[in-house]
Amino acid sequence: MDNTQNTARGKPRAPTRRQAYEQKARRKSLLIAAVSSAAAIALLVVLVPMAPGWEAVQRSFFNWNVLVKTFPKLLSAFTLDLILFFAAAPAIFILALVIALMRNVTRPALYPLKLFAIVYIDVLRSIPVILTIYLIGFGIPGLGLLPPWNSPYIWGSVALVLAYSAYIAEVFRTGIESIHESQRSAARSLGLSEASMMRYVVLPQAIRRVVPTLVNFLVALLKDVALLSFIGPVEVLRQAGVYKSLFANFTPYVGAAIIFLVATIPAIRFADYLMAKQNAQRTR
Amino acid sequence: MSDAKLSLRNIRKSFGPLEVCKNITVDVHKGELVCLIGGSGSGKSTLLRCINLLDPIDDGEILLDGVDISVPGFDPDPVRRKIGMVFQSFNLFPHMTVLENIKLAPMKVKRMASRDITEQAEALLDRFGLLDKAHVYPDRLSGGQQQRAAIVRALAMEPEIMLLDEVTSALDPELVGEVLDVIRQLKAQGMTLLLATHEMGFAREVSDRVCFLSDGELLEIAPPEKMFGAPEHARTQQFLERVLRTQNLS
Ligand SMILES: Nc1ncnc2c1ncn2[C@@H]1O[C@H](COP(=O)(O)OP(=O)(O)OP(=O)(O)O)[C@@H](O)[C@H]1O
Ligand SMILES: [Mg+2]
Repeated sequence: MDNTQNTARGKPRAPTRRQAYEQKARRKSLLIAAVSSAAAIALLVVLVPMAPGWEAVQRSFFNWNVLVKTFPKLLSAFTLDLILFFAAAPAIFILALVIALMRNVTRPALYPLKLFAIVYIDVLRSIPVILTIYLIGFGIPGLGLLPPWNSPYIWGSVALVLAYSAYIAEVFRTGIESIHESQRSAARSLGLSEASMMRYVVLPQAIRRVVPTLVNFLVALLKDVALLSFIGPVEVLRQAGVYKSLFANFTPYVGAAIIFLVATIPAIRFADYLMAKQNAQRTR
Repeated sequence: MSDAKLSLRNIRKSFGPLEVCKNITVDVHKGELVCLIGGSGSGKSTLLRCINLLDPIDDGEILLDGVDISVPGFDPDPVRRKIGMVFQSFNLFPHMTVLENIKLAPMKVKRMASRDITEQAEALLDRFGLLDKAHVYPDRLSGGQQQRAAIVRALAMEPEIMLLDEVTSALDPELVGEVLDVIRQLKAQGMTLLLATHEMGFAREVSDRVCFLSDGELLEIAPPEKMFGAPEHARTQQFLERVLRTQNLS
């Protein structure tokens, strides 16, 4: 009954002793995991409502009517988060790559580029992202620029791009440095120029290696888009704040949290999957 | 000048205080196969890397067809096109198939059309029994197949001389033979070869001359019969005795 997989391949084969044993062990551990998780959840459901303030919390954080009323608007506000995210992410990727390559130059004539990259990375990594957003998002429109160049959408996104490109440039740099010296030797010995070596041999391998880290940073970026709410754009967090005041109820924040959860958890799982796959490959 | 294909004159190379090449002078003629032998750390790899301009030498001259390529500031890329090099391990680019590995340099360096180089690469792969592996990624190949593919990749640039650095030392014994066969084929076709090796039986069989390096010094250059039969230096004798005893050859 449970060896359908074997029979399906046209060549019916009873599971070997080892397979049968492993299957039994797998089922047993699944069962244990299910039972213990169910017990833990049941305990939470029983215990939490016994807390003295539960009634009040439930009214102000988990108000079903408020949730139903605000959720569609929150969802449409979230599209702004997505737009800002998809505008920022490619810019971050390209800028980070450029900065990482500048950080890596060895030719003395190009040293100013390297110096610039070092300062860029150091400065932007040391300042909290929210501060960068305030300084650029308020500072640059304050120069008296004309519309649309005084838009907080633009300068907020620029701030995010600058901050994140500094982090991701470091990710790229570690990736580049992780490529074994013999790969460079092999490329050079074939007569490839330094630029071709970087482009065709080193970078493709380096980027592949850092993909899981990049996905994690993208998840962080999606959440940090919400920081832009502090300088103006009415994205989901700001919208939730508006509703909070309107209904005198915190449920819209819970709604916003749910939206972020649903959007980011698949990406986080995907990053885990990629990481596990790479580890498996390396130990092979 | 001499008629040597490759001519090393008084090569010196140090890493910090460590002298790795001490005044090395040797000529390699066209179509000749010269083996470098010597203990671990004697400077074989360093010498080969210097010839391919991967490491700069401190003093001396490297002449390729009579032209000094070791002048500081000499553009290394055209030189490397004439010199093929294969390393001990990690040669192939893991993110490319065998065929892509082979095509990369001809396309990007020689600007050959993809179709032309594909034909040429497939002919080479066929000759070395790797045609069925053309579209396979390197991690699916045995060590011997990887080294043969690396040699084919170097050959696709149509080098005039090949430097092989212990291309069999990372291989299981039963895979060594297939790589040595490839080297025999290259020699038979008239390729000029300089190779560092631990395979004394092979060096004896196939080389025209053998160089013995000891602590960065070129102690002895001799035809294989003399090197393995009646070496001049006491240190050469000691080395060969020790190695041949462990390799069960001679
Ligand atoms: N990049 C480097 N920096 C410092 N020292 C080095 C470097 N490369 C090689 N050496 C040193 O130079 C010496 C010669 O090394 P080399 O690799 O040329 O020896 P080898 O004859 O090829 O040895 P093996 O048979 O083990 O491959 C060694 O002592 C090594 O530690
Ligand atoms: Mg070596």
